[in-house]
Amino acid sequence: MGFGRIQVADQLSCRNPRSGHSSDGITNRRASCFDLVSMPTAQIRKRELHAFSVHYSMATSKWVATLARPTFESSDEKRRCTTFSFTTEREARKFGKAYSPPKMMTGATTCVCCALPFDSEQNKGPFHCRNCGSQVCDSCSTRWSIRMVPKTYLQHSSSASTVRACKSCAWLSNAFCLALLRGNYDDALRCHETGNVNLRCTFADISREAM
Amino acid sequence: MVNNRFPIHCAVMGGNVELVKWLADKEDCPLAVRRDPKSGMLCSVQTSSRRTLVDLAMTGKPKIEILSFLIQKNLSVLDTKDPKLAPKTLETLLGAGFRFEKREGDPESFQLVESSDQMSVATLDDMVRLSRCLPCVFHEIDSPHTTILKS
Repeated sequence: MGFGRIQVADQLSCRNPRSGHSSDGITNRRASCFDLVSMPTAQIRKRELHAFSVHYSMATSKWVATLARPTFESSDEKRRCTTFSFTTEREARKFGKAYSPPKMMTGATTCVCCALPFDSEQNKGPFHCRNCGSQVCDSCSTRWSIRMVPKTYLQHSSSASTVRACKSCAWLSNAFCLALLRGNYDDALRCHETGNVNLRCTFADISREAM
Repeated sequence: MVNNRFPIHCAVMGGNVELVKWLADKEDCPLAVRRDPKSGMLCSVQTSSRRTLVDLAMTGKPKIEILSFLIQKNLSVLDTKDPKLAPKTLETLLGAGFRFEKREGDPESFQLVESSDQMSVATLDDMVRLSRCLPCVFHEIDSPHTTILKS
């Protein structure tokens, strides 16, 4: 990890040669909270994606990926599917894997992140993390821009600009971004192995924190 | 200002070519989402400040391995936020021992190949000429030893 930190500092100094030592120090300290040693493994619940199907359409001579719509408590619209067509089977399968929405957790009595029961006064909830489907309390969730989760995870008619995400997903997203920026292959793969990292969506702006 | 980056941007900025290959080849992250309607060239995914992948690969110390990988994936050297960067990109690539060859069956397009032949590397004069006649395109390469640039 020490090596990674030096790399970040190097990049900083070549981009902004006038940046002082003190700001570098802050960067290093802040960056370290997303090192993989501090990964909240117990709080990360691997998301379970809805099943998707891929078939070849003779009529259009294209590969069609059929994805389930995400489930929302508030909506009473019938569960329907959305379809996307591709020229190759591989593309369609990769798309399905990247865009099939996660199953929402049901019946949890305690928060996945902090393990406190939901019924207590100070613990509002449960809320669903839109990225992994975990049920978390208010204090264990943050708001993400809707661009940080795939479009197919979102309610079609909703006009909200943010979605709720749990803290472990937020941590993972930042850690993955940092591993990529440091060029650390093993760390990036380990973040990806948790299954809760989106590869085709933007990251939050962590430029002020890490770079 | 909000700066939205995709994982592929971060990987290019990080400078690890293995990560870029992993994202692009194994996980099939799109490098380009659309084609320019006029020239038909691929437009790379952009950050919210409209920087392209080639831009990012040229930021700081040029990341030659990543740059050549991107060009081999059919991204254009002209596909940058600032068109003045194009000749520099080209010079970096040619200086690192790459050259452009005509693609078989399609005389209009070129592909990047690694060359061990030092003679095929374009001279700096060519690059200066190229930078003067922007926007310019590679039109013809007669032989491995000469590079003809037309505006």
